[in-house]
Amino acid sequence: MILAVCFFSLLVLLLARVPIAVATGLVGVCGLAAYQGWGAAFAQVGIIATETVLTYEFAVIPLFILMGAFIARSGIAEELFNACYAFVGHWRGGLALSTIVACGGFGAVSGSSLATAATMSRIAYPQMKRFGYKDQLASGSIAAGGTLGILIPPSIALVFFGIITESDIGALFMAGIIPGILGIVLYGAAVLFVVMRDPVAGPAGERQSWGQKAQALRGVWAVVLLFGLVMGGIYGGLFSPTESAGVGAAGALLIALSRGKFSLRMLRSALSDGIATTVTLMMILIGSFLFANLVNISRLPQNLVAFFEAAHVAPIMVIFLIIAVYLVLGCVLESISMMLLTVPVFYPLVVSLGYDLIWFGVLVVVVVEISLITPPVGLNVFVLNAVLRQVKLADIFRGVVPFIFADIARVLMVVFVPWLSLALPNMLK
Amino acid sequence: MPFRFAFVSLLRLHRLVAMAALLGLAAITAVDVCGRVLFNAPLGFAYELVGILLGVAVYAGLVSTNWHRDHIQIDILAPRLARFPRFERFREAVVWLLEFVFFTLLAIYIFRQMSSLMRWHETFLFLRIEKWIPLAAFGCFASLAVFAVVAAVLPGLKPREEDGA
Repeated sequence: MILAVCFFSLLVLLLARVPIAVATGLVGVCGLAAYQGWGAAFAQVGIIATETVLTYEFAVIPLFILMGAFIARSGIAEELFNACYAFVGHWRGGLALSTIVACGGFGAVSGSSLATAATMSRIAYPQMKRFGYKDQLASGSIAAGGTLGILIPPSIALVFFGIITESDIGALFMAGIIPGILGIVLYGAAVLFVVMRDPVAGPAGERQSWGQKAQALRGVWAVVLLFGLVMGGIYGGLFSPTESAGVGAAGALLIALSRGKFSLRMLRSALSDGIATTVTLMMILIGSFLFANLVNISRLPQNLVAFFEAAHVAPIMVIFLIIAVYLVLGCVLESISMMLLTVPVFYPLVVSLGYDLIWFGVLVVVVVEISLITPPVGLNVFVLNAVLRQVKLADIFRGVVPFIFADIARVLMVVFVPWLSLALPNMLK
Repeated sequence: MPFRFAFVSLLRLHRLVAMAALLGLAAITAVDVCGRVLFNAPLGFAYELVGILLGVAVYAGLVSTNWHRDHIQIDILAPRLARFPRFERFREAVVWLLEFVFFTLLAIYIFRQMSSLMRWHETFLFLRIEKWIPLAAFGCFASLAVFAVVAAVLPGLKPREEDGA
């Protein structure tokens, strides 16, 4: 009963636009007080508020955020797009394909879906309009492509999942690679499907010579180097995830320097953005830990396990129920907050059903990705709407529909073919 | 408005401290890794210093975030709520009050955590400083962050457009 009141209060507070950190924190404290008394509940505030920021492993969050902030200002996005365009731009729908692949590459090193969507909309949209692309395909491919960054490692969402469940962040990163590439392939298929049905939606661009292609490829070395450094370092056993994030941030700064993009103004702007994101996410983390303690004290996860065992529900049905919960919550909640609130409830249940936690982490992030483009919240869609004021919101939402189907296909593939997520972590064990 | 000028300068100083701590985090981690991998000479204190810098970055950065009221919230009902101005004013007041309560709790209990560590005289292994010292700094930043929540709605101290985000 206490927990039901807490969940209801949390929903009301969130809908009343109370900051997520404050709502989760206060509901967590009040709920803990109802179970253990005010003294114990307040003591938790002091412990969590200090231990969370003093934990070395949690420094991975601001460091990857900083790496993304440096990368976003180093001109890499434009060069990635140009490289992809050089190879497939002359196909029908080729510019949208280039956008998807460039979003995947940029998202991988920036780690931010919103930054990817905002950056690519400035680079890819004018090009697509120049060649007469319809608004729906142009904006839909950018909004959907932007979501790829949340899964392709290094991914902040996977870091949060690893922190909450105390699972190996390096293994989670490796597990995200194949489903991330699968996302690019399926989004590419969605683009081809759109231009097959409506050839006018994405006319062909100009064909480039092999010399131009080779020239364009020279711009992508930085992405390959940084990705190789971060991921190779973790799996070569050279760095922990926090160390790789630190090396990645320093590497991203050096890349900006080597491209002549570094200036004090750039440094200040990257650090300022980095701090703003770090503070809001760390506060949400503190609030969520208080809420997660409440969930644990209430024994909700154990009760859920007992309930499903008694009801003899097939494990796969439980997984689909969880996916349904995420799809519904995704309509009202922001992605990271949604994970922080729900994963502590679901993960003991998933483990008790015999599923692999690494696989579940990837599944959760893939499902959460969908919420970035589905109405009414669809954050990526709103970012695009803010940048591309001339495109109607309804057109962007219509444009992402084929990509939502691609996402649903990917969710089913991740559910029924666990190998997709587990092959790389198992191979590298 | 000398008081406003002093307050805004103080906030900017905290923002700079937070930014320096973030840059320091990256620098210390990178130097530690390079030292260990390339020269087999890691910085022994890196593990502890990174934790402290993270705390400084978060709580010093919180001051400005609270002043600008930049925390992530769910805006799904915002357009509908805007149609009822009286209810909207009431909602705004309740949201502000909850922010004030939460951040005040945070500041108070950081100080209480600090005082209990102070009693035990626990020290960091490599840095050789007592553990309550960084917590005292976090507590001071968090207290200023509470003041920033109040300042965010005071007519003379509210953030203006020229103050940026």
